[in-house]
Amino acid sequence: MSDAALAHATTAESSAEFIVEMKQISKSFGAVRALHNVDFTLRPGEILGLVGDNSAGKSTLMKVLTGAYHRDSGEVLVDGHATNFRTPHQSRDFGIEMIYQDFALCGNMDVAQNIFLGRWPRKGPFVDRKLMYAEAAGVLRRLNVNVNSVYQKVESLSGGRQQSVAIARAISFDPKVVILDEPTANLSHVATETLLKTMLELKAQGVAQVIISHRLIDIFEVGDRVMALKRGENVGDRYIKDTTEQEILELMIAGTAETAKSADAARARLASPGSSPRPSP
Amino acid sequence: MTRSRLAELLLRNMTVFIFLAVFLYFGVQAPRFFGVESIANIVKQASFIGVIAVGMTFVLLTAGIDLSVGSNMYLSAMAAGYVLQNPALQNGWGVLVALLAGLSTGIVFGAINAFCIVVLRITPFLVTLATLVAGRGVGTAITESFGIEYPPPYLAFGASGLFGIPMPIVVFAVVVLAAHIVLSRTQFGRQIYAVGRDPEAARKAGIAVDRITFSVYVICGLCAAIGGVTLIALIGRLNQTFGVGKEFDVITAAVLGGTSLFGGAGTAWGAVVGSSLVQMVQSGMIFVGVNIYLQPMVLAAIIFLAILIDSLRNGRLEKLRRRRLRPD
Repeated sequence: MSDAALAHATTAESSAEFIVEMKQISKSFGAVRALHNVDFTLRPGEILGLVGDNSAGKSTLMKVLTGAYHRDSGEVLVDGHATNFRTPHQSRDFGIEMIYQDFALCGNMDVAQNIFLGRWPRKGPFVDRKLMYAEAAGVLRRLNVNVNSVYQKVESLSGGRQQSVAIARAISFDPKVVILDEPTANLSHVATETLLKTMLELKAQGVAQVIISHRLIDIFEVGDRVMALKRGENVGDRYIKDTTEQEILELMIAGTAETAKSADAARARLASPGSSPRPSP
Repeated sequence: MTRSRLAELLLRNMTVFIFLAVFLYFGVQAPRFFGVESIANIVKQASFIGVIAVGMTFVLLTAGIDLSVGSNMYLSAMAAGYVLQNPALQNGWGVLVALLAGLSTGIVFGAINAFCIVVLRITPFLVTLATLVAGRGVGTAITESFGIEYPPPYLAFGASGLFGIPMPIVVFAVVVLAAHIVLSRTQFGRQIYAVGRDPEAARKAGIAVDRITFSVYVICGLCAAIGGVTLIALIGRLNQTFGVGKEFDVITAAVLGGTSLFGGAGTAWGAVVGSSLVQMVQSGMIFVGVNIYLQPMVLAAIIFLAILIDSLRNGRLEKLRRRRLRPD
């Protein structure tokens, strides 16, 4: 971290400003150093693109956040509280949800049962079907997505709609942070557009989102900020409005610790030659 | 489009069509086959296989298999038999103790399978193949392959009934109803379907996959024991060959009833339809007078058909899924 002093000053005056703040995270798998002193911040209601080449450490960083992996060193603050999640269930209690690339749904069950997968509401010894279908319909309405029926089997849905179910599932926990791992990898053009609309809808409801993606075009369409990793280190952090796809690509490929200043620092430097800084989103 | 719809409909309801076809064929060939007595007999005979097929359905739903049910029947019936050798227990209470001993044996047998599969991580096929052989071996060693006679109170239990319905059918009905409620209405049931379809997704959803897998083998063991202790109450004498080869009838019944060998699909009702179909074919062949040496081949053909249908069903679903992963 090149400008530690500046970053520290920023966090000190506004620690509750971030819904998630990770400091100096390191994680190794045996001899392989997956993450090295990585810093990460996320504001409430912000859409952050997390980019980097394969093996840059994007998924590892997010799994450290959810508790799927345990960090070797560093701090994780959620809503200002120091945390040390041992499992994804613990991070869920703090409002963090991850949507996996493969959606992790069971195709032999219907939409509502998948939204409540593993925690079907109960009435005595039985599953409370009435409540389950009613609440599932409510979650889908909130998402504003069109899945024909909560009674439809998930395996009969298109990839895009299956993803809507996966998102609905995440939303049903009423999270503050949703992490989407390569959400557009299997989607058609139309389904991608729908997804991006859904993300903006969630943003409007104050849900912060991290989108791990190779597709910069998606991040530039809905994102507020983009953060690049390279071989497990920070190499860049920019507001979408201050940067271009070209610059981010350069950071991903040729970024160094020197380029890794915070988005605010990058903006400040951008401002100094004379161009006026644009309002923060 | 219409043709693929039709194919879908045929595949989904294949068992019902086969059931009707076989029923009509035997009936036309031998009108006595349609008699009340004949039909009641088929249902009664089907109930033993059916009860175990319900247990097998639990296992198959998790994409597992239990080949050891025949040996489990043998050991459970044997345990009940040994309890009843005690002269003090040759009464109503003794029957109850014998039944409990038999059912406990089945549960322990199932738990041994479950332990090897869940804790030792050995493939279900291999574990239950081993316990199929080992169970029969243990039973033969204990009995020294002598038969066991069951006392009159136990035979009276076998011949008893409720409102004129024979005991085996009552037991079958209770088991099917209980299994249906568990599978379709409880969280445990939903967990079984989730684990069977995608264990990884189930784990991510916080379902204790190992606990579920363990339970289904214990349930299957219990069902095998129920089948064993009720069937032996009708026969009255335990031979060393009791239950031999029943695993195939049971698996055939479950798969014919629409339960998939690939996991995640199947119902308790399916076990009723499947076991009735298997029994109907076996009884029907006797009515029609099919050469006794050819009868196993006819059954083999039905097993083949059942598994072929299951593969087709799954192949189709796979294709549908692939198609739907592409653009909207």
